[in-house]
Amino acid sequence: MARDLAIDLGTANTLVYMEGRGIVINEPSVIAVNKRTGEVLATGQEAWSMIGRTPGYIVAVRPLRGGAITDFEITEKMIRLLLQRAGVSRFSRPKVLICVPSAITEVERRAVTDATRRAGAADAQLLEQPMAAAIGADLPINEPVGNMVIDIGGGTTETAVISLGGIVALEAVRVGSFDIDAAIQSHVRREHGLAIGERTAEEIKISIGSAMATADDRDAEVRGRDLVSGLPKTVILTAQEIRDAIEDVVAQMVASVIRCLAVAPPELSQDFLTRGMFLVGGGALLRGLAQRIERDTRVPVNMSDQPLEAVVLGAGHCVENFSALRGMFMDSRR
Amino acid sequence: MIAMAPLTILFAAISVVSALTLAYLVWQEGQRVNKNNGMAAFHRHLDALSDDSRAHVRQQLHDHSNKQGRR
Repeated sequence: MARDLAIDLGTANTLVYMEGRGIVINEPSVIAVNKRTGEVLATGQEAWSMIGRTPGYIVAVRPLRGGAITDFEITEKMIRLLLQRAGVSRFSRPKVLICVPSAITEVERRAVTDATRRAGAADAQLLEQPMAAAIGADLPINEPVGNMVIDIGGGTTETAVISLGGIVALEAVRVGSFDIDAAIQSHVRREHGLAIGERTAEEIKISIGSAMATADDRDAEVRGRDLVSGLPKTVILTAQEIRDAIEDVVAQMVASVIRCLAVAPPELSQDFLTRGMFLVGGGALLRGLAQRIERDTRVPVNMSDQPLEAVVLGAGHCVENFSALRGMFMDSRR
Repeated sequence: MIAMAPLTILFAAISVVSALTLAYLVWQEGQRVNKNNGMAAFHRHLDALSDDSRAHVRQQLHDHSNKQGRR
């Protein structure tokens, strides 16, 4: 009999949880395809290392942007490969629970479920990422207390207030850590006349990026292509200039958290002051972000133990208790 | 009269089977409604999210922390 699966189909990374086994796949959401034949050449880490370095007939792409499918065919291929690697065949078709951003539109929702069913799933259900993240971060969401979770992913920032097993307030914006990378790319191009790729921008963010001044602020040497001469060139970037470059994006993330706090019922708002908010998702790893949110909202912020895995672990729990938690799935509420 | 008997039996059998199927479907629907009924379903939902039920999630978080600590 097929083991049911939970998939965190993120803009940056894809994680797969198998019923009874735990996380079985954790890799970048990237696929490399031969444009001439449509054949898949690589996925995950291998395809990620190809980004920006492929010959003309190969394209290494992220098929999701802002948490939504931008290329339906490629996403279907990616899901099909993931299911195959998880042991799905014509004779063993599992139920699949997919975590999606809460701001997803009806059309995008259909695209994800159709892609999953066509890839071989017997049934495809959707679950909002903040809900899954709250379960995976081990918050007491079954109790009548306010649990606030902020999930900062590659393409979205979602803040949710959860109490008694359901979402009470929700705020989502299509701004995530890839927008930070894009802001860095554009800053380096504008201020230093240097073209850098998205992988280099991500490396800069990881090494010196921050949302607030920190004790270990340092500089970084960056290599790219001079826009004027076309020759390779090296420049030095400071932590402060990167902070300024990403300020707009960080401010949008913080503003969405504040909007969610503003719509939360007052009874639950009291709980946030004592219990704090919980930060999950890859974007939460940006240096100083927790302190910045704490400073601007005056509410304590706690980091989840496993910010990258929280969503898929939460969805995995739902898969283990599929019938009892079915009411939480997006389809069942319509 | 004799020729009609098998037809009568056939129709009677079809009627019985149809009635039984209908009764089964009605019973199933009733069960489904009861199963998803308000309070019971809500408590089952909360139980599935309780601390005890999420022990395996905690264990996996712990395992991941240990794995990363070793790296």
